[in-house]
Amino acid sequence: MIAFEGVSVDFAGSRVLHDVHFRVGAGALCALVGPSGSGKSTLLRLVNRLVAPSSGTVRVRGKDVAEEDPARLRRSIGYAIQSVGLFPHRTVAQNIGTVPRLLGWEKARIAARVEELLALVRLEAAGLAGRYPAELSGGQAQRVGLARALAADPDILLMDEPFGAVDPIARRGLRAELRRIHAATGKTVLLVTHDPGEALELATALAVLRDGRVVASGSALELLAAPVDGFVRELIGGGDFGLRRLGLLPVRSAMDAEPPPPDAPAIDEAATLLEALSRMVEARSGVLAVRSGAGAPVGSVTLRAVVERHP
Amino acid sequence: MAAPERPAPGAEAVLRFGAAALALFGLYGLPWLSIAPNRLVLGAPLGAADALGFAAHALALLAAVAAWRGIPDRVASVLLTLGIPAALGATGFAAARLLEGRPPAVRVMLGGGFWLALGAACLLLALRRARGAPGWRSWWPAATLALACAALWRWGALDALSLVAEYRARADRVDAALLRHLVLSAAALGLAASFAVPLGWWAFRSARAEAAIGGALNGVQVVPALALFGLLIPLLSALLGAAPWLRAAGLEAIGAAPALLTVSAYAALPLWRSVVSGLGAADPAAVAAARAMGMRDRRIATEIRVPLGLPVFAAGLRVAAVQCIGLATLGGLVGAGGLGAIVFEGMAQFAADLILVGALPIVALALGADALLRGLEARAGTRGA
Repeated sequence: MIAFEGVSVDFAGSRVLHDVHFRVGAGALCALVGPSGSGKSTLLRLVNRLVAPSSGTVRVRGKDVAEEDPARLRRSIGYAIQSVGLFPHRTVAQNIGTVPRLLGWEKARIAARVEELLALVRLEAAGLAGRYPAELSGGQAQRVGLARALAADPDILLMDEPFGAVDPIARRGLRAELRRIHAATGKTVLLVTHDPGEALELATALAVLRDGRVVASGSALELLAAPVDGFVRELIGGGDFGLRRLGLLPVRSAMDAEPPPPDAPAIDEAATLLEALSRMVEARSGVLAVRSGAGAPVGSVTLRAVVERHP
Repeated sequence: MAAPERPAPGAEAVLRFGAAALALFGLYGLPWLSIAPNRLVLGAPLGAADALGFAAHALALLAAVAAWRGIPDRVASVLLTLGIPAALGATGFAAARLLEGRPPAVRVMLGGGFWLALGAACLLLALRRARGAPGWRSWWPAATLALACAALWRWGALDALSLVAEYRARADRVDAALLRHLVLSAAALGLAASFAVPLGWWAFRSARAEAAIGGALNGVQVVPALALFGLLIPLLSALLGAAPWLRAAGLEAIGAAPALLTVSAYAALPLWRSVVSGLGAADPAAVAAARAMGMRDRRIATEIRVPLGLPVFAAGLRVAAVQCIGLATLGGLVGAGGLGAIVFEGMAQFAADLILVGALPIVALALGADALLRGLEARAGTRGA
């Protein structure tokens, strides 16, 4: 869906991106992680031509973006940023309807679409459509920004630290919203974040950037499988490299078919190994009974299996 | 709607008592009227107590009460709004009595005390008004004052004053000059806008252009206005000599052309400055978002930058309009007509009241334009922001 082919970018004499080769498949939710100044936002902005490559080619839907009209290209790609940038003199509904209006949609169609999007970002009940951005809370503004980015139903969504400016609780809610929207719509999402926890939780694929180079890419599990280089380990593992890996694996992956002892505490089979470990510590038990969603016994999982047998 | 700016409580009390003191000084310390054998000589001064009798003390009491803190703003406003026309009427009446049985050339002129007290009373009214509630209460004193003065004028209550006599003697000319002054000011403002707005757009797009244009427009401000008027006449003559067809197109070396060019050159700076800063007033994140969503530069300008810059544009327009009305006065010197011509006629004759006949409408026009555009500015500010 999106491909960077040997892309380099220079700003005022210094090289921001070095010969980047990288692909994002259709329907992926790809997180770009890396320290500040590593070039993640620049990589994102190449996609809708807000930045032009000094050399190399950026392809979107198979076509070189340099050959497309920038305004048309941008209207076909959703874009949400940390500062949101809602238009202060326009209502929430007008803000959301911006790109459809640029595309020349009928008024009735825009109004219907705005309703739909307010429902999608769960603001339909708040009666916000006629309000101005100054009247919104930070979390509401971010949701409106997300709705505005999705307005013309773009197949690609670019997000630059979209939840950076909200409190942790609103942030968790917005993350869940994004995961739900991604699952429901199957859009290709490119997400810049400096929070590795957010990246591991949301992304189907990750790219780690350092000093303008993509130093590692792959699924979360691939990146958390030893051995990786120290920088990647430090960046996405933090101090809990092993625990984060457990957090990505289901209980089933370390489960035994044999029945648990009768007094073993239970855990749902949909839980992660990290949750299983947490449950064991909490219950002071080295073995758990695994139950299906309906409550039927499925098998058991032991501390030893969690630690040694996970894939 | 933005609340009117109001002075700090301490400063406000000082201003209020200062205004009352000035009004009292005008009533008791300076001549209220003067009587002269004809319009060109200085008259014999007459204090307010002698001219108005008991009414002078009533006006003094009114000024003191209107400044007193214990009196509510609304009551003080009503007192002042009725008191100012009452003082005017009493003064006109006193002037008429002074003229009784004297030769027709005798003039009764308004003295320094009258003007000082009038100014102080208007200041007091403005202070009280600034503290009052918004809405209709904020404009009714001005409307009532205007209506009361019009009534006094209509009934001839002020006819004995030399100022009114000067006006009556050349009413048609003054009225025409007022209209011409307005047209000149508006044309100069339009001319200034016609080049300040494109130059503002250019400067907004290019920092180098901004430095160059800013330097040039600031340079104009440094030249004294009179010198620029003077300079333009030979320049225009030379231009007309070189290109006589311009004369056929209506350009003259004296008259409206140099006046319009000069006034617009001065008014261009505030207009241009407000265009440049108004275009840059939009939140950079909103502009970045607009670009990222696929708006082209022109659309970003018309949909984001211009609406968000409106309050800044309106402020610049107000400053420029007031400047145009004031500077158009100098047009009287180069044959452009307008109220300036009346002022300079008065100066040439040493007839103070004739100067005022020209100057007072200029002040009124400037204040009126300022109030009108301030309202526009406040409206522009209510959207967005």
